[in-house]
Amino acid sequence: MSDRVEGRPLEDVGFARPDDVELVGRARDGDVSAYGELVERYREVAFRTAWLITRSSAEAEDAAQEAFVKAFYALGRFRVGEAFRPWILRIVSNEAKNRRRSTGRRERLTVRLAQDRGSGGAAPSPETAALGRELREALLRAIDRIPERERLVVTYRYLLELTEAETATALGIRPGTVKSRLSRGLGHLRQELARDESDDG
Amino acid sequence: MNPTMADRASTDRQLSAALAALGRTVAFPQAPAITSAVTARLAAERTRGVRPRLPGLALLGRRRVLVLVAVGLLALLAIAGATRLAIGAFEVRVQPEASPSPSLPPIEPSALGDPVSEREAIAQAGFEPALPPGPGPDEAYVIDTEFGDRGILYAWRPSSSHPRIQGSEWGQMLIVAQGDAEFVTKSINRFDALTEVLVDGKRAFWIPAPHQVSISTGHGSETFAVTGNVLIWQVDDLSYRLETSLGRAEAIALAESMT
Repeated sequence: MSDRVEGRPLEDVGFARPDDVELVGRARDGDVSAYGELVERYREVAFRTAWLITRSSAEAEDAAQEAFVKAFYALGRFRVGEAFRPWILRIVSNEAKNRRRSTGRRERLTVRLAQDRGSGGAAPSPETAALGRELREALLRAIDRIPERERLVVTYRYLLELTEAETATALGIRPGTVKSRLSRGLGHLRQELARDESDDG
Repeated sequence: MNPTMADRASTDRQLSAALAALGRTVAFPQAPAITSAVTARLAAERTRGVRPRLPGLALLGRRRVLVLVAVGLLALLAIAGATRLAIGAFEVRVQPEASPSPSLPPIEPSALGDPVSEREAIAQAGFEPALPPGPGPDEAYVIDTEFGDRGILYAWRPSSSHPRIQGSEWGQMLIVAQGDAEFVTKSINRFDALTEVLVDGKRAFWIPAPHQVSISTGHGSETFAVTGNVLIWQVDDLSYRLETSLGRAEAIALAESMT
């Protein structure tokens, strides 16, 4: 069933979507279709999380799928009252790390930038305009060169747009460690940006 | 003169804003439609009985093993090949091929987590274990697991009260976990390497033989060689694993002094 009615979200036309707590409860009772709703809700961020680690669409797809299956059988361990998204992203992260470890591959971060103009030829968004393409590309190159533990915190916070608390849960580290790795990561990013420029210059 | 890229990201605030804007303009690869594949797989596994029907049944399966132990079928289970036994979050597998490899390292607490204060460990883990009387631990670590459960590892450096564990730089190690979720798996290669004992009248395991231990962490499973003597017991919903150079009677007395 579509989540929208004539372009409007279902919530706007009086249909309340079940929340994660309800879906987790039903899934714990063996309702696979309720679990399917959770998968649908989080498959995109799960895939992106796995992709940031494996750098491979095929590996990320396998990791996300396997993580959702494992998580279903681990629902008994999910603590009521906690958020589902960071919990599932932690399982996805571990699955992706294990897969990358077993393949031994280390691909470059080949994420693309969206076009500066929308599909209708509209003007770029304010943030796109404010952040020149050159700087965005330099940032992506810099992100690829900083240490992994810092890179994961930076990419989870800014590319996946997770909160600090969600990043901590998803990576299995303390919130204070997220702060310190983020601070070190920003410092290293600045160094890499400067190096990038001096290489060009 | 145009500012350089480094100039435009010279402060944390500028750089954070630039990264936030970058996050909104990055084009990730298209996320595949995996929902139907996941649900179909779960449904198929349920039909084939490959996995437990419901998420909670994995734990019931382990409890069923414990019932068999209670009725005295231990020896029959032993000859079945790989036998699984559990006390709380600690599982013991009898696997004939599980001789600890000389290349396996002894338990290294820092491989399992970051050192924290005792108070911080309790706050993070969400439970407060009992500790042996005498000097407090020299270090405490919170161990995160893949599924979000947490355990605490306390380590004591060798001293007159805690002689060094053979092959280890520690004198005593105590791992505590809450609940029944599998957290630490010990693999022994002979059934007689495990002895059922009583701690405060409750069933416990004594494993004096060298064996392997796998500890679930947030970064996957870490496997170590264990050369010390290990006692595993449970008090309420907390399971304890004590590794020392103490003999059986002293270890049990130490455990009972904690309750």
